[in-house]
Amino acid sequence: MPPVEAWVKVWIDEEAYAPDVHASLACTACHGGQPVRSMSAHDGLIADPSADPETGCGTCHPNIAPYAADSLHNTLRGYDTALYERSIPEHHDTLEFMETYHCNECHATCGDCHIAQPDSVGGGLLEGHAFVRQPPMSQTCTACHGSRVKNEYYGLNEGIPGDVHLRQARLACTDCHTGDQMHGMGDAVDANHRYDGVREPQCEDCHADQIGVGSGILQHEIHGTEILSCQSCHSVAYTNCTNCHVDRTEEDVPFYKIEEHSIGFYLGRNPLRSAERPYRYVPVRHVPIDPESFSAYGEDLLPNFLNRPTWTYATPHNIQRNTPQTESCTACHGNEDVFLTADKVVESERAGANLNVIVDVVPPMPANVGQFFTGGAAPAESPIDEAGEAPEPGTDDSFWGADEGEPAADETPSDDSFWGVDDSEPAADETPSDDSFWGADDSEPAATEESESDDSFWGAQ
Amino acid sequence: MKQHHGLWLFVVIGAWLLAGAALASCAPDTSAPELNTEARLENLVTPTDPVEVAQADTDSPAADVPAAVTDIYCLDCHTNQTIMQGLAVEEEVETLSEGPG
Repeated sequence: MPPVEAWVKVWIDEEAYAPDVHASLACTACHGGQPVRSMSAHDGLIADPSADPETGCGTCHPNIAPYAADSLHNTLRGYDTALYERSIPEHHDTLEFMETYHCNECHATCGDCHIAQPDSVGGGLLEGHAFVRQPPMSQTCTACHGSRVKNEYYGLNEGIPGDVHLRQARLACTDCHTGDQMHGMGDAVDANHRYDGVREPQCEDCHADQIGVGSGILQHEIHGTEILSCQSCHSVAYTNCTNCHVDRTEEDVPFYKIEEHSIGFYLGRNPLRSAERPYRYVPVRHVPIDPESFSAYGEDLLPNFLNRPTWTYATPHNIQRNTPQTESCTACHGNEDVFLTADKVVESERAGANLNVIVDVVPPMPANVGQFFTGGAAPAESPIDEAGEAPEPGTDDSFWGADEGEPAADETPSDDSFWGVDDSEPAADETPSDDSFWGADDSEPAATEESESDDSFWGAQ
Repeated sequence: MKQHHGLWLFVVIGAWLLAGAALASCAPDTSAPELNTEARLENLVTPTDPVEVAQADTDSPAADVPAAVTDIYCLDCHTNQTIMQGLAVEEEVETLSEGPG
């Protein structure tokens, strides 16, 4: 993201702002300050009136602001969920103190999306103080969600194409991630981390006729909707960070260091298996943490480090129609390279919650696979067993590999994840035809006019 | 010998002074940034007309908030590109962070 000059950050564009309904409010009504014509007008200035969404924006937006105030974006509750589970109550205050240096700039207030760039990238008005209904992707969303989501979605990881939803459909983040989700409304109310509760967004929202049994797509018919998440087959290698250490300088300037990271793709056992996410295997990513991540703030702050997996449920944003996994059955069946087997996990992490993720037995190539191609099988949610009968969903160990038991109930990866090295190169530039990817014309993705306009899509440069 | 002592003293003091000067030149500049006083004065003596802004719908909550004369003071500066370029100071942010983040 290009740097914004200091003066642009605070310059109000009369033409852009004048038509905005907010321009009818006095500046001081939101920003405070002093009614004088000098620099002392800034005394008592409230730079971001939405820092407290309820008192700031909630006055006029009572249907949204209170929810936004309690959303994951504003509270960063997902970090607390993850850190507290690895820690003990006696250390919570220390961890909160650490967060004041290393996490608080990531708080996203209303203004951080709708008026200005977030603080974490230096702030600055987006469009001359005009309020932007649909936050520009590059200046807001991927300004914060950069190293993983942005690099994956834009195709910035070397040799790996961008997400088909961007390359072909030109979808912005907000085309899938709705305002309700971002504001912590609807099904997102009270979520304690990113993957808490209802899956949102869902691939089915646009691809309903292409999923599972009845889709007419052989692989989907065979695998159904309860064995693999969509990303298991349709995402490619992504970033895994194996550690992150935070500290601050003598001048109190916070910084972090991630010493090791790599690109790879691994299917692990689903640590969040539930009715909402029933998949047996999902892509898993190593999150940027190790037991000493916060040692600059105290000793042994994460005594229960492996209460949560370090390899977590992931939804990489680099979806392709064709991937190495879709090349053939043997791309996954019997192929240890694709699965997170124990040898890919550092020895010190082969314990605790990671045991619910590590794949002990890679699903073999089923002996009766031919029946699927001759129409004699009853695949999908009921993959046939060796006797040719369709067992209850999730019970066919010979086909899908042993179900290594229900994972711990509430594994809660708050972060999008990380990974180990994978030698397999992803398919280069997959360019599926629109029809085959998106289905019939009558179900075209909702690419809005805004998302086709370069400025509104990428944000003003 | 006394002459040698005087010479050594001279050399040591000279070295200290040179080292001090060198360190002082490395110290960060903490002086206040120069402001564009010309632009500020010009604006002070020539106030511009208030900026017209659109009014909210009468049924909007925003319509209940009275317009304030202080807007003139804020907008006179914050809509003036020249003033902003003169006053806004680029903060030098040195980051020690490493890695994808």
